[in-house]
Amino acid sequence: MPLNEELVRLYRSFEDPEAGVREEFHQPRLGPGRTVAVLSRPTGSSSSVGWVLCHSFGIEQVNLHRLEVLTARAMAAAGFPVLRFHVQGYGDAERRGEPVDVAWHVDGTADALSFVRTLDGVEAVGLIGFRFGALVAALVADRGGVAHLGLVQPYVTGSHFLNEFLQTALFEQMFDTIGQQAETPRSLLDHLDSHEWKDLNGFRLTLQAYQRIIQIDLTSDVRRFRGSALVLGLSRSGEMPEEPARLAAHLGSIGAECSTEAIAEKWAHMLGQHHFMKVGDGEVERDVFFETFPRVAASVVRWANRTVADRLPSPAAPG
Amino acid sequence: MREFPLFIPWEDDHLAAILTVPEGDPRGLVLLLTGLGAPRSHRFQMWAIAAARLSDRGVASVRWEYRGLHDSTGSMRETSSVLLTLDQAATIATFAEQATGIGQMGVVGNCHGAEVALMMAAERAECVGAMCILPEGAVRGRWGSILRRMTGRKVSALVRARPILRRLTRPIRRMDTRPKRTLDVPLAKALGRNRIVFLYDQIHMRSGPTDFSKIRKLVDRLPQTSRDRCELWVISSWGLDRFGSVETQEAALDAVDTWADQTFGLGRHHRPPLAVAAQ
Repeated sequence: MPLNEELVRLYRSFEDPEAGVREEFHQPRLGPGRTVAVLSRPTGSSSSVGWVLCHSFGIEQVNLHRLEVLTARAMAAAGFPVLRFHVQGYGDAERRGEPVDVAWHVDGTADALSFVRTLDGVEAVGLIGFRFGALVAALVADRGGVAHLGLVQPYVTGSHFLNEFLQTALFEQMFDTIGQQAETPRSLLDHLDSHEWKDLNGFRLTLQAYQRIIQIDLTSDVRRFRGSALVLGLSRSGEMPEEPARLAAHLGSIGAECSTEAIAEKWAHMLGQHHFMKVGDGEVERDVFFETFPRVAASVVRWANRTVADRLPSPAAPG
Repeated sequence: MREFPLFIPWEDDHLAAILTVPEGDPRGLVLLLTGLGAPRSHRFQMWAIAAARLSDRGVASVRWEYRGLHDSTGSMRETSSVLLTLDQAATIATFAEQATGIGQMGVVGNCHGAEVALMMAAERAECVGAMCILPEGAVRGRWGSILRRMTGRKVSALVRARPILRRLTRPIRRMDTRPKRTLDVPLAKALGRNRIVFLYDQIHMRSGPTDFSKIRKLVDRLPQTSRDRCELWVISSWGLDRFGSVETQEAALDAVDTWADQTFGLGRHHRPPLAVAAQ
């Protein structure tokens, strides 16, 4: 029996009139292959600023995905068209089971921006990145043509991100390989020197990706961005963490219009990690970021509303 | 292979799914289920890769996200009961059957998804088999619960963090676990009509909530015909719970391929793959 094409076409999108959001799946070519993307749009009138969300690296893409989704839906409810997508090597993208190339993040984002620019009514574009995705968003924004840049728990350097990423991975590995030789950052590098990739708890990390990431330093790589920026940091104390604060200072120093916001979150150190924790007898797991992710999304929306309104031409004086 | 991303209505929400169909007439349909928290493509694209490999064998598949997780709508503060996710799985299965016109379905799931897979195999007439990867068939017994309530999470964390303490308390923990009540009836029903393959790694087979001996106890009470339909396959590498090594990922994908070949009568393999031993 042939596939019921009409049925699958019918369910490619949905509309939530109460939230004022419509979402539609797309399968564009972004980077070196096709992928699955979701375009969130308002059901009412739409802003002329379209956005692309940039996800994080490795397993963090999975662990932060819900934050992306909530941000996209909150932005769409506020009137913005927003595209989120899987970089090649992640999720439903065409490239599967291959080591991730950092260039796929950057090229995919650039292609996603081109996609959003073709949408009816879109005149300007913005990027929002989460942790490693913030590094990618900043790099792409610096190429030009991006008016707004939202950075959630960003890093200044790739090496700082990689240090945290590897520490978490090696810590997890300790629990999984009890009785075996524990991995260290040094042994990991030695392995990368002589092998195509290192199996990091199921993620294939290549020497090329490692080297490309540690080369990233936004204080030298981002010099031309003059648009509006948000640097949003999460910490236990509610104070702006050091890396995001440094980045905000840098963006301000090159002439960007940078806002900052810090959110107090008990589990801030777990951002990017598995966020369901066993409670009670261990039969139920609770999402520790259940309240925090919507708060982060709301902060991004407040900034986007403010920054876009600031840049709209003033209405002509009556009479 | 063609892939169709979909938002399938369930109650007031929409479940994000991908339907994968091979070129030509599909021989069967596989429902790919995740544990709670994982996306439809699973960690490291495991189910996206499995879907492509199934498609190469002429088998369609559908993978999806539970309500409140990832691209699906709704919210989930705490992981929900297996009955709620079973209803979602049934909705997805019905949609995929309608869209493809396929009348034969197999189910593969891990962790929470493995329990749902077992229930689907028990309830759905069109289900011809299931592969359950590390189902949590055991729960903490009375003493463990009391101790946990009295001492809080810190003592448990301390025991978990110290290999020697963990080793010393293992016999007590093993004694003080019981089979999950919700598994008893579906296991009997599923094995009454379908072949069920349980896939484990060495570490998880004998301890904690995935302890297979609790499921084995339930199976041993069933009639011989049902017992014959239960198979245990064990992967020699570690980290099956989170697909935590590339070797484990390959072994699990090979196991899914073999199970699909056997379930849909493709006749390519008749034994578990090399990295997996039947026990």
